[in-house]
Amino acid sequence: MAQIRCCTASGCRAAGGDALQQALQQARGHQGLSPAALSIKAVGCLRLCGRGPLVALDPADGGCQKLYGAVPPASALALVQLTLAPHAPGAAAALAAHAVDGDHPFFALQQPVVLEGLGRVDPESIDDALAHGAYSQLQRCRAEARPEQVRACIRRSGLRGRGGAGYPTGLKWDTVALQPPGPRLVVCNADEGDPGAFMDRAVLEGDPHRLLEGLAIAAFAVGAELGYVYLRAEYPLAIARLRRALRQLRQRGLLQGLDLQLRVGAGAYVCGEETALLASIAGGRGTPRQRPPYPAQQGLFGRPTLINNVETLAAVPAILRRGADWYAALGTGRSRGTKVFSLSGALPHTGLVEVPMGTSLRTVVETMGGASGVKAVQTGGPAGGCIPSALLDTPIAYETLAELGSMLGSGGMVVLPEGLPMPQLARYFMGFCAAESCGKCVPCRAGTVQLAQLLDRFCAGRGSAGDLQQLEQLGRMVQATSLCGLGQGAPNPVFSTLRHFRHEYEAACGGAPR
Amino acid sequence: MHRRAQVSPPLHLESAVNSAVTASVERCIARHGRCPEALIEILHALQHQHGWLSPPALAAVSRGLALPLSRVQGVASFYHLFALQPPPRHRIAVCLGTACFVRGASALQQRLVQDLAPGWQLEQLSCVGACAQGPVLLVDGQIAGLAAMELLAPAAGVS
Repeated sequence: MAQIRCCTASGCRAAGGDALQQALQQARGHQGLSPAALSIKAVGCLRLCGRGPLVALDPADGGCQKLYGAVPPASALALVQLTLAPHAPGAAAALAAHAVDGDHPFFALQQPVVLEGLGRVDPESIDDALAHGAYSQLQRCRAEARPEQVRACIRRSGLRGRGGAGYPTGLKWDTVALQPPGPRLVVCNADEGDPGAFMDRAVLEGDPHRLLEGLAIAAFAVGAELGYVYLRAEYPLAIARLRRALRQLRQRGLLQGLDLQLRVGAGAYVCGEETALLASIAGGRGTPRQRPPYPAQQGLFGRPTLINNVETLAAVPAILRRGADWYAALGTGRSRGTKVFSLSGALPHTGLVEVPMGTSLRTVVETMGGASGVKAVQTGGPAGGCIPSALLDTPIAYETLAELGSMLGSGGMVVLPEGLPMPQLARYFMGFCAAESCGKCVPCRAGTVQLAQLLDRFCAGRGSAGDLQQLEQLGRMVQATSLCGLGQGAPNPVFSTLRHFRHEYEAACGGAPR
Repeated sequence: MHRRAQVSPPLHLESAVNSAVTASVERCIARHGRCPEALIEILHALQHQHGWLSPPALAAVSRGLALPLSRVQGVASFYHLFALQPPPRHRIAVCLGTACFVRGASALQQRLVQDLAPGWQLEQLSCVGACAQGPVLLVDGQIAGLAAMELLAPAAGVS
């Protein structure tokens, strides 16, 4: 059947996707067509967010899909005509300027696992999700498997936490499951706060049932009867879609005794830290606490609690369906499977990419993203670092990026242009951490402010050798003594820019004496 | 941050205003549960209804949940998105996420500071996740990329 798939994720909405979808429906009406003859389907992210609003045409003759980007509502009629008659010459010419090459490496090199339903499934319809296989693995687990078999499969797959820390997921599931008898909980960390990261948002907005299936499987594997999704308030569309998906799930009776709840944050970056997140779910200030005890031992309401990131949980149904060995065959070294990155900054093709671990940064940024004249790539958000263009051949993995003084992080990848002064970028991240510090521990609360003031001198070109020394000393102190990852990671952008771009700091010294 | 002077209602109206606030707080508590874990949900619901969390509302929440006012105030003031002052008529927020920053969000922010029309409040956000459209503005809660900004510009006084 002929079909037009419209991206209805936040990126394309911001670019005018709603108006385009309405215009398409009108154009269909003008042509005297019924929804049965031409389906206009709302779907999740079609990946190339920078060319939004995006539409994919599935022609009536069953030919391969065609992708169009930055389409104004005025082109709706041409899109409808082209879908019905794939060789309509007038329509193809009218749309030529908006055509997106589906064979470009940006699409061709992707390997969708977590994102396989995005752009295909209607995120607001459980029937469509079920038709695409949602919840089939959950039902298979319940009917055929014991929890320890599910955990063994995840352990064998080599899946590691995609929120940034990279802790082996199977091991975490085992730890929670093997706690002394009593109630356990599962929590999905959907508090995606790193600037430059929008992978989890795309999954939440584009395929919420996949995430909920992963969460329900995790609950089955560790023996939990209560689960929470903690979602940041800055993602209103994701909240609405997840809420709807949960309602549909309850109505269909697919939860079978499992209670899943949505909790919405209120704008605090630190709540992405697991102990702060638990404090916030419990209705308190989102401040972290000392670990151990780890949440796996003593978490929400004092119970053993499994906390996994969105991308980690969304990978679970695919791993169970295709097998642990299939997943483990992707990737490199101790980093198996695929990773989703949100590609943004100074490059022509911005959007979402999912590639096997071990793909080089250069492939992602230059071949897929089309970047040229790259100064550095920033990965890992405010706790990450910058990797200079000379080192872009590094394969992407948890260990390799950490060795370069950055981190894989949650998947934000921002391409920095030639002209950007690195002290200014370090100052930007330090300002972010100072503003988001929860204030509980002194090194982070006061240290980030002091570091930001030191960086201000370098930004203004009036630093000194003494300032440089103090920057490094204070940075090490904040890193070593802060309570949680926010403070411990805050000096990383400074260290990584000092490591690879020290000359820029030195050039900013020796100005006017202090 | 400067706290706006709050206008108190005339004395004979104050108790009526307070009892209306208490009733609204009680409805929120009934819906979300009379337990400390529901505090953030209740504050969200109240802010959605009234646009902000007024001192009488926070006091009513404290009474309703039998929590110390310090705890309620502490939670409300911890989170950036809870407003402890009445909202402005319109708000325009500049996203200062990394991608927007790299694409000139600071310059945009500076221009807005100069050109902001009366009735508009300028705010900043750390990342709304629309990084591919950057620099991005949130105009009365709606994401606006560069293309949409041209349409909105006259309203917000952006030239």
